[in-house]
Amino acid sequence: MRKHRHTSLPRVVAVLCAVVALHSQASPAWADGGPAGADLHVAQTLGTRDLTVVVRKVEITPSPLRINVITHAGTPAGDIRLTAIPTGVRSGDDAAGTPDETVLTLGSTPGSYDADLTVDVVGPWELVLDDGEHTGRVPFIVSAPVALPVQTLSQNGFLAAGVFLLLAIAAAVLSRRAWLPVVPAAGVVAGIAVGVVGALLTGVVPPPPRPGVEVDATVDNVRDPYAGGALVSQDHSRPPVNLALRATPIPTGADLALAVTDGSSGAPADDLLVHDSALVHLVVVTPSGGLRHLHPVRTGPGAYRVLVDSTEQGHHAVSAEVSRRGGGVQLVRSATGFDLGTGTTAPAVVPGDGQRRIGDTDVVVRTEGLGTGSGTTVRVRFGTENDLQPWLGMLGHMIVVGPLPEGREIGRAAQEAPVWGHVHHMIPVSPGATGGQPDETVAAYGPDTTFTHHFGLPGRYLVWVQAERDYSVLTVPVELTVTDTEEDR
Amino acid sequence: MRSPFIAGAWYDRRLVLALVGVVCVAVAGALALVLIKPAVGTTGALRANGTHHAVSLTVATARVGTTAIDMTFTGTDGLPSTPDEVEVDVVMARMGHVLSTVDLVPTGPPGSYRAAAVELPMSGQYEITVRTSDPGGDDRIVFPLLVSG
Repeated sequence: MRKHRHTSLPRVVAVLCAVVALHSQASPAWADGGPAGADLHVAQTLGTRDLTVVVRKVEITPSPLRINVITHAGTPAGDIRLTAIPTGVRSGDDAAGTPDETVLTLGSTPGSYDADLTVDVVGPWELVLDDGEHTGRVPFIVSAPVALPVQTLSQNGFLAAGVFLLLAIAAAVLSRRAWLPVVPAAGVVAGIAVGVVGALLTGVVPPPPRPGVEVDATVDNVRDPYAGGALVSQDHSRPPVNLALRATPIPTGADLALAVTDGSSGAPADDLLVHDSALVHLVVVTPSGGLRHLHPVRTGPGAYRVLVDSTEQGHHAVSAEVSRRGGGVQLVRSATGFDLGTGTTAPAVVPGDGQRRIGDTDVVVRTEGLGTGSGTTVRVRFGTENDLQPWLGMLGHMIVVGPLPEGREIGRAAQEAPVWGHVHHMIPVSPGATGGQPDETVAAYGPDTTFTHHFGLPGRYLVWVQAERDYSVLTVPVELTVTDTEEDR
Repeated sequence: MRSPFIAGAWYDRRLVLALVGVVCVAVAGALALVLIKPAVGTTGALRANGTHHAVSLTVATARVGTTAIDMTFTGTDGLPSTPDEVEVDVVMARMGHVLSTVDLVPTGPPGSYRAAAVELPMSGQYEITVRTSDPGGDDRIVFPLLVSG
């Protein structure tokens, strides 16, 4: 007698559901304001205003586009004209899109000021900020919901299985031929197999290049990133850039024009991504050893502009941190820097460890391991409460420059220093948090910030630790003397 | 009892094998359809708006080899426009490879130009940059172009 084994159908279904659920988790968020519909946070030094502009994600078109402009302590009140302009290359009969503009009145109280624009097509856009004298153009992408092909395949497989199941039941009830129900039954099994395999592959199949992040965005590839058929991941990185400066002295410092060009073609490099909440992180070291961490506005293809607030005479060293489309952050040191006046400025006295007062905040600095053989940790406590705000997506930043020889103007020595570094203290991840990164209205972090850096060369370094509190960016200069501990080993 | 499966019957095994075959063919076919999608070069006219001109650009064959590129310019009023100067560059941005500047010839109708023979030496993502100069200002429009093998 033949022995029949009864398989538990609920058990099989449960296992299948668990497997499908495990492989159907949400894909990770795109970095740097990618096309998946993340909010775009971008810092803009527009004239004398330090602004953080948040372009909120758009789910469908046409729809309102919410813009938050976050001001800081000391930001002058006034009007800013905001304009959204579609810039995408399109094919077929796609509409070009309609520009929309509004005027946003910024108050004298630091905080978030909101405006709504309308976007009516998907693809690349520009947000133009105009204060009447200065203009900044921020590229962003209005994304479209994109279905993964294997996900669609999975859904269609299960749909086909359902249809075949009905046919199989009908055939079994109505047909006198015993073999007939087997045909649609085979379709049921095949449909389920396709559905399950599709679901299993949902998180495995490599995604296509991301429009706007890895490849140039167009209306077509934003709408369907899979249209190109390229499913194989590859290196999308582009050549390095050159940075040229033109400084025009003004009463408050310098009006600095930056030209960013492609290292191969020499053409304007107009593909800088928003990384760490800025298109360009410009670091200026003044003759006395002061730091300016600025975010030039894009005025045109590869052209940026920023006002540097410095009345110090002497040489200013400059570097820019940028990220091109295709991947990879690069630190570009200006070969020239710029000079203001004909005199020099004496270096300021910069303390090391200990307590000091920056603005209205008591700051305590403590360093550990000041040697070349291991990592050096710089701990900085801002006040006593958990009220630090994220700045550029981070809890804190530490800029490192050195080694700096004694007796030289700091700006000139920094220009030639072997090491320029930029260290972060990340925002702690809140379990279950949704809706993207917190903006500067969230004052819930700190008061401690910690930075670890490996100093490869002994000598005197200047580091500047930056964090935001009460909508003020606090900059804490610290002098470190790193000893050569590798020789002692 | 009506059952297509009778223990030991020769057609029992055949049905099971046929069922397995159908499943395999369905899964393989569906996956092949989705995953082995060939890269398709950009086709048809691409359009973009600059500040002073709108440009329509058509690449005859976006495949490796030599192709013609046609361009028409219209002004902000929607009528054909003729820029004072037009320059076109073809670049493979990722490779750092700049092809020589494209020779553009007016084809007769106002605002229409043609580059008869543009070399596309390899497959991949290109950028065609169109620069126009006028007394009123300049435009720089970049057309991404996917070239297939």
